[in-house]
Amino acid sequence: MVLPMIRFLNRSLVHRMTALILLGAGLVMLMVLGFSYFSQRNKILSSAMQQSDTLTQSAVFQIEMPLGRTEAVVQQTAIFLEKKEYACAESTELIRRTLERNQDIFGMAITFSEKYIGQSDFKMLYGWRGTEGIQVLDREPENIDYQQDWFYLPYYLQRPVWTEPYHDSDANTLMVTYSFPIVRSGEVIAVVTCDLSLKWLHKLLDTLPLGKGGMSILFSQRGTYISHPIRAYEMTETVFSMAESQADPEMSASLYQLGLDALGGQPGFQTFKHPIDNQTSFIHYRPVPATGWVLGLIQPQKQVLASLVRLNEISALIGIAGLALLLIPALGIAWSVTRPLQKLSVAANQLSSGNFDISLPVIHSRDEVARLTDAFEKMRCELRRYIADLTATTAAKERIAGELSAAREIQMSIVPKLFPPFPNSPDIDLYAILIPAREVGGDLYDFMMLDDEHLYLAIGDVSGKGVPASLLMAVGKTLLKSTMQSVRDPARALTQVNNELSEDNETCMFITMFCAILNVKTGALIYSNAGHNPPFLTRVSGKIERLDEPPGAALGAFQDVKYHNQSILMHTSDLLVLYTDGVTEAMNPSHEMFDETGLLEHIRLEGHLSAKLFLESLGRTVNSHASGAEQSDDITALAVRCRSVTAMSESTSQYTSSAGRKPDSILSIRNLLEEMSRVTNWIEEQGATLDLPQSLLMNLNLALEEWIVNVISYAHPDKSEHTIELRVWRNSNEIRLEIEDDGQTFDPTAMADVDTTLPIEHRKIGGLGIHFIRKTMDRFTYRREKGHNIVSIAKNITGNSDNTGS
Amino acid sequence: MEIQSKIGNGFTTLSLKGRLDAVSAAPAEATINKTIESGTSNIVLDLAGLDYISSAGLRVLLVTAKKLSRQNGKVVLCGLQDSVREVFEISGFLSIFPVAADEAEAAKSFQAK
Repeated sequence: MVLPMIRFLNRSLVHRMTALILLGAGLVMLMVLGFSYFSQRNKILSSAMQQSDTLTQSAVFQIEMPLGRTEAVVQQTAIFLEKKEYACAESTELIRRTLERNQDIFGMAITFSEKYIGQSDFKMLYGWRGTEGIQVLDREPENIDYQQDWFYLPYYLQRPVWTEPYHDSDANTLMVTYSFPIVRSGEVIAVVTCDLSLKWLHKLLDTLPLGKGGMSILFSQRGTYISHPIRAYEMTETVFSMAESQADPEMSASLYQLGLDALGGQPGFQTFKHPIDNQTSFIHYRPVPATGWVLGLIQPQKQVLASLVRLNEISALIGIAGLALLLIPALGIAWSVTRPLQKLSVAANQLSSGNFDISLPVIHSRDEVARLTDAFEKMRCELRRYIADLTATTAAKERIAGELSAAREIQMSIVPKLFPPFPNSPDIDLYAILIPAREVGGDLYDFMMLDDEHLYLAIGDVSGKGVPASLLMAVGKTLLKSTMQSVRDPARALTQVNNELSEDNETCMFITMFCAILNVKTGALIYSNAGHNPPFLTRVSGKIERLDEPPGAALGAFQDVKYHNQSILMHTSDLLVLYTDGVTEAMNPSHEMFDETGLLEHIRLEGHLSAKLFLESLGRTVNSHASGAEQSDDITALAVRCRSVTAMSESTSQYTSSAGRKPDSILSIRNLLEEMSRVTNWIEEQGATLDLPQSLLMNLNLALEEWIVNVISYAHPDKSEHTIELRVWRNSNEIRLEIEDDGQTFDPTAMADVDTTLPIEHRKIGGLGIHFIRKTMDRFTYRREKGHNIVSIAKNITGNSDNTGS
Repeated sequence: MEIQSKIGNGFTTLSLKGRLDAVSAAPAEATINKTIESGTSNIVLDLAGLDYISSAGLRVLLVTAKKLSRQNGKVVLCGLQDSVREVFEISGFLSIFPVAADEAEAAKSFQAK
């Protein structure tokens, strides 16, 4: 019942407001009703009490009147008898006259005590109203019971006494006797008695204006009921026997106490539970002083308060009617408050579905609802602007995302992705990965066979991110590749690309780049580093070397930076690992980097795998290190190994000065152009000594000049004096020359061939010398040993000595 | 390196003798430049006496040819020895330089113009 009620109230503000108003008004009404009830109740009770008290008083007074008259009669008679000794006749006359004059009195007697019988001529004169009028008789002492109250008490107490009421069988009525002792010299000689009929008592009590339900009781000083609404109780029950007959001990005790209080001789008022009808009732009791009786007037509380209850019922009805009338304005107020709210709620629903043009309720007041409507209007404007902003922002974001994916596409489309890259050269094991970050980092790698032997390798990282980085990456990658194709020298290529990039580099972006040429036959690796992470070379033995000679500046940063070549020899199955900082700086959620140690550990564990498997597992390892952290930079790596490096070891075992025989002749020259004539003379001497044909000698001369001029011109940027050593060997079928210099690393065999078919305007001399060596010699190899470039050229002398090579 | 200059009909013949290598290239270039500066646009290079040429020498010839072509002139080679011819062949210069057997044939190429 309560729950559905609460649910009903919760559903509507109107219901709740109305309920609250009615509840408030109802509470006030109840309080007024309660106050008036209790204040009126007290007033009514006190007036009822007063009334009842007065009634009791007057009733007692009325009861006392006949009693008093009787007492007076008896006293008069007694006074007569005290003074003078009356004879029987006189006494009879006295009694007769008294009875005639006092209709209340039923009978009268003068009784001598036993001791004084004989003092007069009668023993006991008794007069009464018989059927034939008043009769007076002298009774014999043997018929008199001197132990009865009417005689004994006054005789013994020597004072007048009212006896207990009793039922007189002669008169067939309730009777009470007043006895008066006649005392002479301290002795009671006779007792005068009057019997008073109590017929009038019922009449008197029954006519008391007690109202509905009211009743009166009268009981003697012993508690015996003299008058009781239930007549059967009269003279048979006492207040105490009534109390004891109650089943409820509490009620019994309270009635007993009430009896004791009433018989205490003082008037009083009490509330008690009536044993007959079990109703709460009021009792007023008051003693009748003459006889010691107690008169009690009982009125049920309900009866006393009946009018008050009626009044309250009327008030409550009026109140309910008032509340019902109040419902109308309450509903009106609630409706007026909630109607705009309902409209607002409809508007809010439309607003949430994207309709910002809904009309809001027009409120003319300045109350809370109006303020709410204002706030709502403000919210609508803000929302409209916010949605517009959001739309614009989202569009911008989508554009950026589009640009990012464009950048990623540029990056991914520009690096070679076809693996294995050289299916015709199974000895080259090469693989590369590029995992772009969300914001493209501009990493790049590149590789290409420059000719049958020389593999160009590069890895780089553009500063910055996004489209600019990917564009610069594309430019740098293309530029370096095309430069390498013509220059075939990592350091020189980097120098050129750097100058190209640093010119008008307003954005100040730069590229770190590692660039190398690997001779896949000899394993000779010539490399140059422009600020890039040093790669690792893993030997088959497990030793890991770091190619960390001091790198040059990053590309594009400064103009005219000089880059230098370094070289190292890769043996069969050595693994070269190039990588970008995306690998080593990959972070996990607690910002710990994968670091070089992680990479080295991975190389140690997995370096024996093929390049493809190695890099794929590196990708997984880095990914598991990141363990969910967002990739902040591209992860790029390239691994390469030659499965069989033979040419170099063959040539070195056959010809190196340490392993083979001593050269037939050695010439040392300074790095000056003037020394060239010494070279010419020396080789001509050798031609004579070693018995070489003239045309061959001329080719040797040409090859030597071309290379030595190159060394003199470019090998020593410091322009200080250095020594170049020339060595010659001859055996039965071959003549071989070695030219050794301590200049910067340069592998002429890696140089691109010149295009000899161009028209004159486009022909250049650069590279032509190397071209001559290739064309005229049968073997042209390069190695770097102990910081020295060693170029070896050889020519067969068996067969056609005019062989120009092929 | 020896260079003899002989002024002919509408052209100048320069006879080169010895080696045209990295060492001699610079003085040879200076001599040829002098000839060009004297107003000659057409030059016959008689290489009959040239025993040896390297890329440094070829560069001198290339520079000369480019200069003259800007003056609407040209260089004609003649009298190449086998070893020198081989170098020209390898370098592809035979296809960019007109080559005559001797000076007389070279002179004709100017008159034909």
